[in-house]
Amino acid sequence: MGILEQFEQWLVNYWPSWAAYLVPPLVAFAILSTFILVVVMAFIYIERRGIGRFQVRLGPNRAGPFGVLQPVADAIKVLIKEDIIPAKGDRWVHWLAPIIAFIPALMIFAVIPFGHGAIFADLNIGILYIIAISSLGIIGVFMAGWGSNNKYSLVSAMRTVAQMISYEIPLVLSIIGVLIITGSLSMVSIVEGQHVPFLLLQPLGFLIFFLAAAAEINRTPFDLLEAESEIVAGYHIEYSGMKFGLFYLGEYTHAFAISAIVAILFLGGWSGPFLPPALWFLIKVFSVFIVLFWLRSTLPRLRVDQLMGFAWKCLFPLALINIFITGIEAIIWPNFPWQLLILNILIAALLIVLWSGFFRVAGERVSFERYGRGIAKGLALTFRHLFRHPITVQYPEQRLTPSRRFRGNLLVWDVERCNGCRACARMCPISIIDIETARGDKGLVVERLEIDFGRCMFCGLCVEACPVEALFMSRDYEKASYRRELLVMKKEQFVAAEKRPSAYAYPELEAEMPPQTLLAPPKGGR
Amino acid sequence: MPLKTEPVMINFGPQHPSTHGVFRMRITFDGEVIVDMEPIFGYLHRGIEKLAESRTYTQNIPYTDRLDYLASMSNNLAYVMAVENLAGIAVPERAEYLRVIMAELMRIASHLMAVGALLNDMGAFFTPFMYMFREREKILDLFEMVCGQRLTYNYMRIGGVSQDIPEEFLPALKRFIDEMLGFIDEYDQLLAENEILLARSKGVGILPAELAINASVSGPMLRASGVKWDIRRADPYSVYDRFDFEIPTGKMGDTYDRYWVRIQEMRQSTRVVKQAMEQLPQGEVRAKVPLTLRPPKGEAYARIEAPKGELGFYLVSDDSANPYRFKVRAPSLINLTVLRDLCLGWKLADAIVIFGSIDICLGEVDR
Amino acid sequence: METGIAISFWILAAVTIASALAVVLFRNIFHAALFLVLCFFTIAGIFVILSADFLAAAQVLIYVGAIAVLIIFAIMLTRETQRGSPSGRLRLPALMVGLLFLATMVFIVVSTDWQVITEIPDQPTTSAIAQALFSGEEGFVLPFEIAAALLLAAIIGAIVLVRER
Repeated sequence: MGILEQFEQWLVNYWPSWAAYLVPPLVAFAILSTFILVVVMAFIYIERRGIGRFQVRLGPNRAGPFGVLQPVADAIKVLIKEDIIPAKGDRWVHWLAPIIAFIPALMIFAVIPFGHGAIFADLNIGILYIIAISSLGIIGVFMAGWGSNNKYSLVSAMRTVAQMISYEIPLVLSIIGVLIITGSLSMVSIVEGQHVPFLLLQPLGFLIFFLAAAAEINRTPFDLLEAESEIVAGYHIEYSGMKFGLFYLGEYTHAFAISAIVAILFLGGWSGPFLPPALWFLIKVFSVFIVLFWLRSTLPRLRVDQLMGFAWKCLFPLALINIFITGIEAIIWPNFPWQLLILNILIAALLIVLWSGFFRVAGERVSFERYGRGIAKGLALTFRHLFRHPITVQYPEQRLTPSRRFRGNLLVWDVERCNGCRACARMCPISIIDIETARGDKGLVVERLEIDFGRCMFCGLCVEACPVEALFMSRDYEKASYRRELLVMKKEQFVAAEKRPSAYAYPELEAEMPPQTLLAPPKGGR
Repeated sequence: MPLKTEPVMINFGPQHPSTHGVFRMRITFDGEVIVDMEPIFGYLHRGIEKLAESRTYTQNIPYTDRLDYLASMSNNLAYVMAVENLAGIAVPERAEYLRVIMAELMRIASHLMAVGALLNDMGAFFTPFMYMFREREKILDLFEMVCGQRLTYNYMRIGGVSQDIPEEFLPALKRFIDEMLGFIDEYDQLLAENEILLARSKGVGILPAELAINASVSGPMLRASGVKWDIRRADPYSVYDRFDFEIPTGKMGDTYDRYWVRIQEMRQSTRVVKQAMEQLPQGEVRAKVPLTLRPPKGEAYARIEAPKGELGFYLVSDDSANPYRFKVRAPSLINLTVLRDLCLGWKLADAIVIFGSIDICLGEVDR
Repeated sequence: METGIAISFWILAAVTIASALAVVLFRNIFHAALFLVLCFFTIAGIFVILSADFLAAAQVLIYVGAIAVLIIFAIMLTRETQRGSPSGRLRLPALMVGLLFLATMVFIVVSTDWQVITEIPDQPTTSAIAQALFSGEEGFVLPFEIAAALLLAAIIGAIVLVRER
């Protein structure tokens, strides 16, 4: 008996029966939604930090300790942004699309067991329900593509439809192997039927499911419908504010759902030694998700025709063969002894090797003859980068020393030495040095000096032109203003300014300056 | 049964993440297949060639930084060589070596940027880009050490370079060069055998050698088509005839070859830098040339093998302090002219990748 | 419990009919297609009320997830969706056929003696459906396989028709 029924039975003693019937699902729904949102935020955080580490960056680390509040900050930003509807777009379709894209992702969780009995509704068609519901999300996507009245969106919507329909088939077929073994569509009995994780008993099914699922939730290398470098953001190019937020949330909720389904179908769900079941479940879900963004941070994207070819020529026949083999095994060894996993792994390896030689992408030009060895190498390299020292620094707190010859902003002007010869003004390629001189006791005296640092390009020619060593580049590099006129430096400011001359064109100054910080060699070797 | 279809026209750019600046392509699609494309440029036109006519020869050096801003050193080099040809100035030997070191480092930095951006266009989520930027960053550090800037160097001067290298430069350069080969191997490991990369780039956007020559394409693009043409060998300038290096050439002239040639050129460039470092003589780095130079009447052309191709400066002097005519033979612009031929018949995603593999810099295309 | 089911049935039925009407009456065929999706979806809801959970899932999976999506895909590839289809010569015959079909349906609904099930339906319906379809004696294995072969032939035929060269 599930937690939900127990709650209902307990409630019946105190409340009228209709309330006892209605309240537990509502409470459960509220708890579930909150939990999903929290996990989704954790996903977003982990992905952003994780990809940062894969790319030897620090990743977001400002909001809260270690940046854990970054998703919250993002959510607040998204909520208060202006909501834009394209003038010639289809208003209602545009408005409804994000909701329709988001809700199915949430509905999947109704049948996902987080532990013994910790399930919203243990439907006996659980997995079928998931497949049916998750096919609804695409309607939202192409409503967005259509409603935006934008060609990029439309291209993206067409790609979506083609991709989803193609990948749904191997996705469903690869599950059937699992269903043959457990003999049930219910998620709970699939978990309970796994004495050996189906990852080992159904290696081929797992691979097909994983790849097709990655395509369903548009993760690299199948993220064609977002394809930032091609169609910019695809279907949500015209969305802003909360509506964009819903798409974003829906995408990660879907990723969470898919990771959970992989964990249930192939990794044994909540079962595991020592730790509490819910924790095991979450560990498995997060590991699946980590693999997903590991792939994202390593691989380029496939092209449309290659994507279709991969689904129809590679995943689809392999999924059929997998069903066939599992069916034969079900007849010969009806209760699937664990020794079978050796045979299944061998068969999977053999089929993959055969298929990579047989399956060609882009006509006859490229073959996948090398069984994904190149991809594996790349994955190994990005994994090693996880342990390298990040190359970015925490800027305002941690500063790098610039070069001794740094040509920074604001020139250093030595009023004592300047003889008003105007050589600097003549040399300046963009004529921004404005000097007026008057005759004084000892030669010329500068009366007015104005330099517009809003236009200066720091070429250093004025410093080189100065015959009396009165002008230096500075080693400062921070100067910002909201008003351009504040960037025009006057004579008085030059006299009063703190003088940090750089050794540019004056190598004799170099000796007493601190050495430049160079990018440190990677820690932990190459 | 013929199906009646209707072409769709899509505008790419000038604001688009993969046009590497403000470039615009008007592409006509049939489904996802490109049937026509019209490159439109000029959004970054600043009139540098005209501006240069009212600046002195020295004042023009910072302007050349802003042509191909990813390879400022090479631009500096080509320009000062043209002025030196015009005025007949001899350059001290140490300066020549320093110029070669800078130009080759610049080539590595520019190729890193080109390959990184190409892979980004292919859809790799910034990871190769970040790895390559890491090494580019080290080169920029070296440049900053020498001339105080990280992007617009203004380092070369007519008759030499603006100042000698600081003493910590050579050890830092040596460390970088030693590391660099290992990092190039890492790029190979990450990418060269990646099946998706192969599928996306092999056979895509083939540029036949004949078309490449007829269209006056130069640089890695030409060599990827199998033409062994490198001005460092064909018409040696500076001290390039003293170094031992190979000219990598591709076989098919497809996107993969263009990628591969760039990676190999980085290897060769490290070789050149290593040799230049060993042979570096002592002495002056700048000939005695006045800052305001008045070359005799006449004209001069100087060309170098810039990272993106043959970069030439044509100067006409009328005996005044400013050039009478200042013309840039920009490799980016000329390489870009074959874009339409490469893209026809390919898909939308390929057009982006082919465009990325040409490696242009809009600052140089529009000038 | 009982009233809850009754209420949801009437809501679903009303939405089904309203959206079906919208499909027919809307000028913008993209909107019409979206209402078709809604219609299919509410029918799945009615299946759920009837405890036919497998059928409901199959309805969503096939009708909403595949057929409606393909219809919308086809609409996206056409122009002039805002104005709807132009009037043709077949308007009157179409009306006749439609009315005839309606009359048949109404006649069947009225004349059939609908049985009301009193016992609680079988709970896992999946295996019951499978038994009914594939069991050895009274199953429909042969018709099922024939239908599959027919569909395959249709797919191959479509590919042959649109294939270039």
